[in-house]
Amino acid sequence: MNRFSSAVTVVMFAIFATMVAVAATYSEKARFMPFVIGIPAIGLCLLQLAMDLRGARRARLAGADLGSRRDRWPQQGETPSVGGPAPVSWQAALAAPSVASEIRTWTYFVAYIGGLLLFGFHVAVPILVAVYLFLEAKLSALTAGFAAAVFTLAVYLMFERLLEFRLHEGYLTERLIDAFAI
Amino acid sequence: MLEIIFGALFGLLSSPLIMGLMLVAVVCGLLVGVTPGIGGKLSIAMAIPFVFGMDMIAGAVFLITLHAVNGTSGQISSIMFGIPGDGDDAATTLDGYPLAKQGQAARALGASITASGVGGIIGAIVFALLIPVLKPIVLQFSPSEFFLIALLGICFIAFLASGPNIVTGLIVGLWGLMLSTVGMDPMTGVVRYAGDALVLWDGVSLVTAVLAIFAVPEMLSLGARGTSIALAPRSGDTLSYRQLISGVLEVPRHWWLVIRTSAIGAVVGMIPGLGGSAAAWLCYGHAVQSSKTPERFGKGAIEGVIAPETASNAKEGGSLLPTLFFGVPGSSGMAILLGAFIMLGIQPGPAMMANHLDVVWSLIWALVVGNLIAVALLLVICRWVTVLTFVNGRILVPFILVFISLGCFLSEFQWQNLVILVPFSLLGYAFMRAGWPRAPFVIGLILGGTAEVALHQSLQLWGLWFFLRPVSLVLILMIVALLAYAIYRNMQTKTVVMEWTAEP
Repeated sequence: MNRFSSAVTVVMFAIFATMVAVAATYSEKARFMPFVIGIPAIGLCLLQLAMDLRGARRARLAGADLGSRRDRWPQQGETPSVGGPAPVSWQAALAAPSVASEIRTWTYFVAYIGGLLLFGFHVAVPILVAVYLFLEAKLSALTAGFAAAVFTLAVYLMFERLLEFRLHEGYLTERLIDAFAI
Repeated sequence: MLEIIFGALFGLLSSPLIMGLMLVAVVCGLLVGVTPGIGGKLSIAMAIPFVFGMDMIAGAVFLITLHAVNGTSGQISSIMFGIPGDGDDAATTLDGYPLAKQGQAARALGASITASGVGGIIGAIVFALLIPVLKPIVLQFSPSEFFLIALLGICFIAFLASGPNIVTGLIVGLWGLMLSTVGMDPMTGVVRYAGDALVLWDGVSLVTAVLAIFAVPEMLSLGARGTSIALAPRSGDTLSYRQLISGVLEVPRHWWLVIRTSAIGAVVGMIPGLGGSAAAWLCYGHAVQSSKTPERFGKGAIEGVIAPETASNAKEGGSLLPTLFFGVPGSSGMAILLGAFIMLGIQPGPAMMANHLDVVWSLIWALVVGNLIAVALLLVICRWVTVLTFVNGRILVPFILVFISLGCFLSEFQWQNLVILVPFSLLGYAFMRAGWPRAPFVIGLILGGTAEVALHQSLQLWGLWFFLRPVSLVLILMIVALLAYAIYRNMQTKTVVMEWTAEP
């Protein structure tokens, strides 16, 4: 177990503890199921943390060269090989993402969802597609813009015309339309 | 019975809408299967906005065909580049890639595509044959058994998906169960954890939660990594049709192996959580053991391509069984499919056997017909489909994120689900990055409501002694045995780690 995994365990412990505490305010029957689930879950989180601590202490005692040899040890979830060369998943074969690129991708995602809520699908979709293709996939501005326009048109025709769904229009867009009486 | 069986087939074949949808699903499934980074789970997630509001059978047939066909084209990168698209295809690489390096890529592809299609069909037949056997057993189950089956399902998936450490899997499974308690309590009507947020009074949207835990993390990870599969050196550049046909003919030549591995695959698929990887590796091992010349394996034996491909597609038929009749998904892909089924109005459980056998048979026929179309189509277009493996992951990300957001919004037409998507995705990403299994979450969330109602009913009917019923006792024994074995395996792993770290 790595430190990140232990941090996730702490987060899960906090979530379960909060939910059990909130459930304590409900009537006896209503809190029954949250207690049946939450209390064992809290116990499991504590057990996991104890196992992580124990593992870390053992690793420290066992010597400093553990890190250099870890790559020989089958990682969690790895498929055992029956014979021949060890299989590699394409994800493993490619470089692990850097923290900076993870943060950048998350920024796009959160900004996109924020854009959807404020400006709706018609505005947020072409902006996400064009900006992402231009800045991240390194396509030319013309290609990215063209792809964004075609894709937005396809989404509009498919969902709003053909399937007759009403997509979210965004709160600011609605207000702007009202304000300018478009 | 015969009326239902062939009525479902006739209904499928005589409906231009359903046949058209199946054709679209086959093409999309093949293209998505071969594209790096988009697995079966993501393709179902992406398809959710399209099936929303569709007729129950048409939507379900579309999704099951898409899911089943996905694996058929997944082996192309395994054979051509030696890099499997997902765990199911890893075993195929061992002999498929050496064959490609020997200039027999087309032969290996012909054999694997045909084996995959035949496996899918035999898997569906095995499932169909088991229906009359299982019907009386499933209908005997009472609320207490359904509560215990929910627990067993979570334990099983936690055990199988979390490697040597079952605790993380159980925590994720319980998180899914806990989340299922959000909303109005079915017994008292008390609103739990929802406050004034009306959107949560009916519970957390299953589609939103599934997209957040599976689809968004995969896409963001692909975006952050941003490379295409075809960085690997390519072998066996030529794909001649003569070689392709010779590969196709390898399947009837090894018919006994095909039947055996299909049956093993279908049975493995019935065990919740085991999935295609286990089926493929088990059958690869079986092919090695049963061969008179095992030394050929790993160097380009065609049986080493046929066995895992047959098994990994045959398991789809098998995994439909627990998914439809117990509401316990046979795999994480099936878990997402189950969520989509519920959205379409299909309520899994024993009632499927009693009241909706027509839907069940439509799904079985969809597996058969879908696989037939997929094999025929892929054999014709496989030389052009390989081009897709060169697509840069970053080009796909924005388009798929749009489909994910559409699915999230359209599942309930609530913008609040888009807000919920972000923190849940963060948690899903954290699980993925920490190496925690995510499949138990979906099982917990799906089964949570049923488990709570079943537990209350059992307590009302039999009091605290509900677990003393014979079937309940068997299920409890299975849970205890599973947990005991998991703890034993965990301790064994720890011992090996200690010995290994203590090595001079």
